[in-house]
Amino acid sequence: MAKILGIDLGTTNSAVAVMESGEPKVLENSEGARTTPSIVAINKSGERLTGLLAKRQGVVNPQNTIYSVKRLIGRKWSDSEVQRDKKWLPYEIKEGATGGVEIKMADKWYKPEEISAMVLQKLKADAEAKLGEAVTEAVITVPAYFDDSQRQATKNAGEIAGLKVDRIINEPTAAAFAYGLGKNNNQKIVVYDFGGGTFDISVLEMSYDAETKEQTVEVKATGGDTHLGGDDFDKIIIEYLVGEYKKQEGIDISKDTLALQRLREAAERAKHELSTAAETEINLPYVTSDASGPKHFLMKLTRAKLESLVREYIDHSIQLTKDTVTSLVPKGAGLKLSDINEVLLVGGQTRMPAIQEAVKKLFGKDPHQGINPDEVVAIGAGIQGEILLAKKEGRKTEGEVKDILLLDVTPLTLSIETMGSVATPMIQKNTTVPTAKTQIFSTAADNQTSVEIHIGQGERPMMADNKTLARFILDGIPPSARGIPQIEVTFDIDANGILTVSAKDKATGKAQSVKIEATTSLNKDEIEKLKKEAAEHAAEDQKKRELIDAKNQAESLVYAAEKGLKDGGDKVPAEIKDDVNAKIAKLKEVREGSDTVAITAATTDLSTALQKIGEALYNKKDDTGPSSN
Amino acid sequence: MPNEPKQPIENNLEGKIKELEVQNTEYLDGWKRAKADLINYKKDEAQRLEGFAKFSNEMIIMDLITVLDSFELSLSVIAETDPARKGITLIKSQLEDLLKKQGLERIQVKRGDPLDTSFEEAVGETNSAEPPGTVAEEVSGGYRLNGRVIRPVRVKISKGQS
Repeated sequence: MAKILGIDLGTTNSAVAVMESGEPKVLENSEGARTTPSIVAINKSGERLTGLLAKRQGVVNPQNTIYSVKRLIGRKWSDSEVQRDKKWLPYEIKEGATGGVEIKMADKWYKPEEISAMVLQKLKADAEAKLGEAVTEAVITVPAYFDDSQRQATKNAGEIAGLKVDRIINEPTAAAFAYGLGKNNNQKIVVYDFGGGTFDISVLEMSYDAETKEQTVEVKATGGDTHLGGDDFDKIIIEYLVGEYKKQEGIDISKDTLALQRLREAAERAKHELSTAAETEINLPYVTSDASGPKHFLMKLTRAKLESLVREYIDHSIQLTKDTVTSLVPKGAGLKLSDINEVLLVGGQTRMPAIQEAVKKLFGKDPHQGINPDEVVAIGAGIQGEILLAKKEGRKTEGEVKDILLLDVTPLTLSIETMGSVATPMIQKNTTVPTAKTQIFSTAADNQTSVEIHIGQGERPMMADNKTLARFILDGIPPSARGIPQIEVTFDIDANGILTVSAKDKATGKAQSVKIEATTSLNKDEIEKLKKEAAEHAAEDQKKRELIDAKNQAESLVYAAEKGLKDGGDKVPAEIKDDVNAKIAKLKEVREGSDTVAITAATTDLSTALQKIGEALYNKKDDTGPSSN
Repeated sequence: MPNEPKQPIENNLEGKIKELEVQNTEYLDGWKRAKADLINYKKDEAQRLEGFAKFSNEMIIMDLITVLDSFELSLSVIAETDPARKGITLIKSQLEDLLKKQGLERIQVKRGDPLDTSFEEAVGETNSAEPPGTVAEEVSGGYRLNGRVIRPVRVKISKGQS
């Protein structure tokens, strides 16, 4: 059976995703882009254009270039939103025969769903070209606040485009699917969606019935501003730059098409750069000219300035979010901000650090990130498509869709305890299972006949700070000097997440092993707690680790020094012997303390003194042996 | 229990066999699928890498195109007799040659041709001797990188003579 497309049919841009080999994948369109402008036009020669090609002629053909049709679909003419939009949309709209809206494009009147169908048709055709097979079914997303009529109209648009719409799902729910949320217990989720032209906020409650394996998603409240978006940010940045240039040079470049085009591109680039850098320079040589000759545009833009320009918009969005969560039902969800378990960021504008910080501050927790915010809704729809397809084909979903985030990776690092209580990682966190790792260890003391294998889980460098999973003893190791025995330790996690740790003495072949079934038994809160602790203690842990390393180094050197003195015997002059012994004593003394610097210094001292033993031995040889000269 | 009938055990065994058969089919199917997926993935990956190699330079080339724009603008205001002109022209063609080697090709447009948005973007209208609705002037150059349009030619469209 052919794939079921997941389609995010957006106000400004649309995207398509499918599941392939267990991974959601966004499909590129025929122009090689991952999003397609939701624009349709009929050009002067009567040709119909869709997507980017329609956008490229919008300026010279505004009456016949139809965009933002999602604002009209399924609405009544008398709807206040329609009456508001009528005033600024550059194309003509009128009341249809059944009280809906009709749109004029090149002397013909269309229903909004017919226009949306043209966008969907292009998405379908491009997806078919990419997949190399015909596609007939889709899951389409809509805003959570869409009513039945808007949903039905969207579904009709799909049918007109030749797509059987298996399901209409809410955009915030799709985003939650993409992040694999709602699998376990009941979760309250806020989706903060800052798109190009609209700002939507949704509060969801997801619950999962383990017995029936059914997931229910309830929309508790929706809010936002249908006329606030990333485009407003761009506009205000350009206005600021044009204004500053006028102040500096006395020239208004807003009327110069080329200058404005260059400025728009440079401003967009600057906006992107300021997501990571604190300052950027906008440099446009020969931007314009006056009587005195050519003029250039050179201006620094800081992140702080950018943020102050758009602060009002961000604050407004935060206030709306707060209202939607805390206002009493039915205006809001009637919840406390602290009731919210998860926060998701959707829409390209949420890449801006100031927005991420504002959201984090409001909820007191980090919002989910990691999936491209422009694509996350399409990805969620693609996952839903795969679930439906699998059901139809009577098979299991590809790539364990249900647990897309957490299943089949180890949530925390698995380690073994080594000398000085250090947790030596064997399998790093987020490693996909099944997996196995083998490493050779040795003994820490002379004539040690057994080793304890202590297995732990967590991100901290000291074993005591991590969670102990198991311990066992491998004995019967033949007595020998430290570092000589070879103990091969293997960590093996099978597809079901079961960890087997085995240890084998390579000399005798004697082996011991233990099976641990609870590697993922930590619940999500525990995992988060351990990760947070690791981050908080990073500096302190580093110091501890350095101390342990210094102590271990000191111990090895003391061992080497004592062995050197013993091996050298009488060949070592007494004064060198005394010096080395004194330094060994000193190092042993400071080694008991916790001053890393003192231990390192004493180690260096002993190391220098030790070299003298070698020198003395070689000199003795030279004295007794034949001279090379 | 010696008197217990034999039947249920056999039934159980049959049931168990059926269950295992179902499981067997499921596993075999899963294994075949995984194998096919791997082969497909390899193909996709090869294609993706090829695409990646081709367009990995795209970002930096896009930035260099803006430098090329600046050179063009500077030449448009420097007098033909200016001694600096030759040098700047040479630096510009140096940059052009370098980008050409990376697969960049400038898109040629003709005045009077109808607008083709597969490689042109209309940024405004202007009075012109060209027939209305056709390309009147090029505002900034457009480019293809290895055959794909990475920046359309920005053009003004003729409104006809005023």
